[in-house]
Order: sequence, then structure tokens, then C-alpha cells
Amino acid sequence: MSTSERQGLRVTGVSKAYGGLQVLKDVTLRAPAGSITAVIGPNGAGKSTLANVISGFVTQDAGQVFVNGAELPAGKAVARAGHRLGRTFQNLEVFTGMTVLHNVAMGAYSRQKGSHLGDLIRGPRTRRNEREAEESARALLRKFGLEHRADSLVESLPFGEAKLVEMVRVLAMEPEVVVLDEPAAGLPPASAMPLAETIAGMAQEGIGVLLIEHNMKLVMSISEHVVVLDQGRVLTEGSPAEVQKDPRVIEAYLGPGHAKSEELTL
Amino acid sequence: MSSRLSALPRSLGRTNSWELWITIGLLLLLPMLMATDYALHIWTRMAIYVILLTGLNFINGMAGMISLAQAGFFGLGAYAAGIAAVRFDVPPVLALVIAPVVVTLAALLVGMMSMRLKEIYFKMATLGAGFVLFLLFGRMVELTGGPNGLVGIPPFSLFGFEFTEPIVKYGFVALLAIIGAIVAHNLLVSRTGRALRAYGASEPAALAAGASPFKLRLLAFGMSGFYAGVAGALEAFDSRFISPSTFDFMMAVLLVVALVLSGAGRMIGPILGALLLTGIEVFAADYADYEPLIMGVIFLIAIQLFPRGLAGELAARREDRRERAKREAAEQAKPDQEVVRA
Ligand SMILES: Nc1ncnc2c1ncn2[C@@H]1O[C@H](COP(=O)(O)OP(=O)(O)OP(=O)(O)O)[C@@H](O)[C@H]1O
Ligand SMILES: [Mg+2]
Repeated sequence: MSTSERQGLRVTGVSKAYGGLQVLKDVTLRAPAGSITAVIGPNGAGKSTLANVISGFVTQDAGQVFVNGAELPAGKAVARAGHRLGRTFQNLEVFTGMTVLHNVAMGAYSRQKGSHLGDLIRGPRTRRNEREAEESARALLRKFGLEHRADSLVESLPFGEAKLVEMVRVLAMEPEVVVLDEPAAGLPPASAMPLAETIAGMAQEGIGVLLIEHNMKLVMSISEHVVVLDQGRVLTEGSPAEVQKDPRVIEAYLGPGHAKSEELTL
Repeated sequence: MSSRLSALPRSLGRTNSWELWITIGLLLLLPMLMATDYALHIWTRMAIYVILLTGLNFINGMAGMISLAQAGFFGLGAYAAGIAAVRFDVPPVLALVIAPVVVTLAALLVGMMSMRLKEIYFKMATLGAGFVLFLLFGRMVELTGGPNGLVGIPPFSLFGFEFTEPIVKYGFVALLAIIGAIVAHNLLVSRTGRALRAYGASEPAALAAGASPFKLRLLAFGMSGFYAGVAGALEAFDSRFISPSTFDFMMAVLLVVALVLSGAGRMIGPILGALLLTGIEVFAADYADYEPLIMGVIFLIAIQLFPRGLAGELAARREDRRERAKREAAEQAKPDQEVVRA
């Protein structure tokens, strides 16, 4: 694919209000292919709502979302996989009652063609699909050191591994763009490093990563570009170093009065 | 645990294949255990129930919704086949095709109207659909024979050969039950079946993985209708007489209870449920006076066991788990979030 086609994610002028509450206001940002773009902001800034608009779970009042130049239909979550856009959730979303392998296979199925009728009679295409899905799922699990968990029920895994399974499921979709809503939430600090490697690995493979995160250390260490969201608006953006020094950012996080003398140290 | 499991052939890992083999094995072995005419008659009824419950399992098991419409669909299949044969002289073989088509269409219609409803409303809607069918069986006297039932249904026949020998009857029904179980198993272990199940486990994650809930659930409804249609037609040709009371509210509840008690969502559920149902039937026939009492007791057990219904139960457990995960997340996240400091 040529570079012009692999532009990654583009969000232009997105607004969303719930009743009188303006949760997103004219948000424009990019998450180019092959790099990590972070979205930070205090609680309630609208980060998850932005993720939901991008992934089609929430219909925006205005604005557009593009993946590789193609506009995505508003509010159609189920169509996102076809556009090669994957996401994880702030609160763990895995398929309980299913094995780790089949959780990940669900991601692989999303890029396969095949009919329900073919599945009923277990036709040759179904068998091929099944084999391909399981093999690619297994390969991914091996890559992330989860192979020994393949046949365990996902709910039997410790929280951190379950979160990793969620991420591996998204990777099984072979996405062009990935939106991660607080991947470090709930993880012990010691897990931050492997997580950073995992996310950096996605970008290295050419995926456009939009990383929504509270953990500043993680954000500052791996992001190329940081967008600061506050009360639904883009407050400022820039390199991690620039954003860190910006007095408006410090004020948004810590409240007025801190801006002069202090800096976000990490 | 996981290491032991991964020693199994890979494709067998938790795919319930052995449950399919037990189902097939029982269907083949039971008539060898006892092959009197009466026993074969009982086994035939059981095999019909296997088909009916395998159908119900698509919705109540795989999709994790509680449908109470299956008795009505069962009846619709029986009446469609019976009416076609008695009133329109349609050959039984054709009636056996017509019945599942009719019921599939009806099930798709009920599915479209009800599946977006929340749990309790979904139960009420499917119960309502079953009840409307039950009323129609009793009221459309010209066609159905009304409360007195439809008489004079011919036995099943193929190329002029009548299936009246008990062993032939059983063999035919069991063959269809086995085919039905294999198809259901295919679905269960395919991406379609997994998506259906995944949708019940995490709606947002399934959507994000591109699984369309509407299509999947409609498929589950269509399948359940098709199986109910086949089971109904077989019931009509087996009994040669059908009346509305076979497909009433009690039957609707009994089907759900039998499946829940024996393992909804699992391949083994339908055969165990069918054994339970046939056992109850045989017992109830011997002690006909106590039938309402037996039914009452079963109903009470069901309500006791599952006050929220199966889906409610699962949802509640999932909720508990999610709450726990969230709590843990919140606790562990605290030190992390304080990295933003002055
Ligand atoms: N469905 C909704 N209806 C009404 N208000 C909503 C809805 N979803 C979100 N909000 C409100 O929108 C605002 C932004 O919420 P959002 O979840 O996007 O914030 P966030 O930046 O992700 O916060 P956090 O860091 O706590 O995850 C909050 O004030 C929230 O209460
Ligand atoms: Mg959020």
C-alpha cells in the first residue's frame, strides 16, 4: 500500500453533546500510520467519548472520522472491523465462557469472508477459515507469551493477562488503526514496561495507534505526539516535552495557581 | 489445568465434540437396550424432543436469550404438516418440507419483533407469540379441528412405503435427530456460533470485532424455527392426531426448564433434556391424576433455581465479575494516576 493510502486515522471537527453537556467540541486530530499519538486529559475530559465516536459506538453531532482517507459511517460500530479499525475498552471487555484462543480468533474472523450456511455444513471454506483463524491466533499468543493459556477460559486469567488478551484480539484483526482506551488502567506499575513495548511494537508494524492514557510515564515514554483534551476541547498538542511544560496543561490537571512555579515532572 | 488441556488434540479443546458423540451414541444405543414396540414408541418421542431442544438451544443456549416460543413453534410445525396432509392431501414427504419452512418464517418474524427487547420483555414477547399460536390452534376450527384436535393424519411415507413399523419410525426420527445434532455442533464450533456466543458475553467487544448481532440472532431464531418445524411434523406423523393442549404454556415452560436443567448452550443439553421430558411424560401417564402436581413442582423448582432466568443469571454473574475487575482496577490504578504530581 502506498504511503498516501496509509495515512492512519484522521478526526476532523468532531462535536458531541449529551443534553446540555458539550462533551466534545470541534476536536480535530491525527494518528498517522506507524506512530503513537496520545490523548491525555483529566477525568471527564471526553476521551472515552472520543474513542466511542471513532469506533462508531457513539454518533457524533458533527465532524468526520477517516481511516486511510476513507470516511467511516457515523455510529456504525459493527462496520469498523471492515475498515480495519480496532479498539480496546477502558473496562475490560473479553468473551467470558470462551477460551483465550477463541477470544483471539474472534479478531481473526473479522477479516474473513464466509457464509453462515457454509458454517452449518462445515464446508471447505469454513474449515480453511477455522484453521487460519486458530493458527494466526496461536501465533499471536506465542508472540505475546500467552501460548500456555490458549485453552484456558479467559475469565480464569489474572487481570493483566486478560487485558493483554483483549489487545491481542484486536491485533488479530490486522488493523490499520488501533484505539486503546486506558490500557494501563488497573495494571500494577511493574506491567507498564511490557505494555509500553507491546504498544510500541504495534506502531513499528505500521499501525496508527491512538493511545488514551492516564499513566503519564507511559504516555511520555512512547508517544510521538500528545493531544491534550480538556472539557471536550483540544487544549494544546505537541511533542511530549512541549506538552509537559505547557502551563495550560498543568493548570488543567492540577487546577489554577500551580501554573507558574511548577511543571509536570515524570 | 491449561497444560493438560493443551495436550488434547488442538481442535478438540473445549469444543464439546465428545458431547456430540454421546448424543449420537445414545440415539443409536437406546433402542438396542429396549426394543419392544412400546419402548420404541417412547424412544421415538424422545428423539423428537432431541430435535426440538436442539433447535431451542440455538436461542436459549448459544445466544443466551430465554425464548418461550418453542412450544408454539412445535405446534405450528405439527399443524402445518397435519393440515397439509389431511386437508390438502399433500404427500407426507412434502409436508415434512413445508412445515419447517412455515415455522422458520414465523420464527424469523417473531425474532425480528422481539430480539431487540430487554430480557424480561423478550421472555414476555416470545411467550405471547407462543400463546397466540396456541389460541389459533384452538380457534381456527375449519383448519385445525379446534379443541378436539386434528384427526386422520396419515403415517409418514416415502415412495409409497409407509413408516408404521416402530423400528422404522424410530430409525427415521433418530436419523434426523443425528443430522440435526451434527449441524448444531458445526455451528457451535464455527465462527458463526462463536460470534453468537461472544455477543452474549460482551456486546461491545463483539460489535468491535465486526459481528452483527442482528444477523446472528436472526439466524438463531431461524434455526430454532426450522428444527421446531421438523420436530412438529414428525410429531404429527408419529401421533397421527394432534390437539392444542400438547403445545400449551406448560409445554413452553417445560421445554425451557428441561434444557436449562440439562445444560443450555452445550451439545449434551438437548439429549439429556429429551430424556428428562420423556421420563416425565411416561411417569405422568402412569399417574395421570398427579400430572398438574408434577408440573407444578417442576415449575417451582425452575423458578427457585433461576429466579432471574438463565440469561439474567449469567448477566448477573458477568456483572459481578466486571464489578470485581473494576474494583481491582480502581485499587491498583491509584498509585499510577498519581504520577502526575507537582
Ligand atoms: N452516555 C452519556 N450520557 C451523558 N453524559 C455522558 C455520557 N457519556 C459520557 N458522558 C459525560 O461526558 C463526559 C466525558 O466522559 P468520558 O467518559 O468521555 O470522559 P473521559 O475523559 O474518558 O474520563 P475518564 O478519564 O474518567 O475515563 C463526562 O462528564 C461524562 O459524564
Ligand atoms: Mg474514559
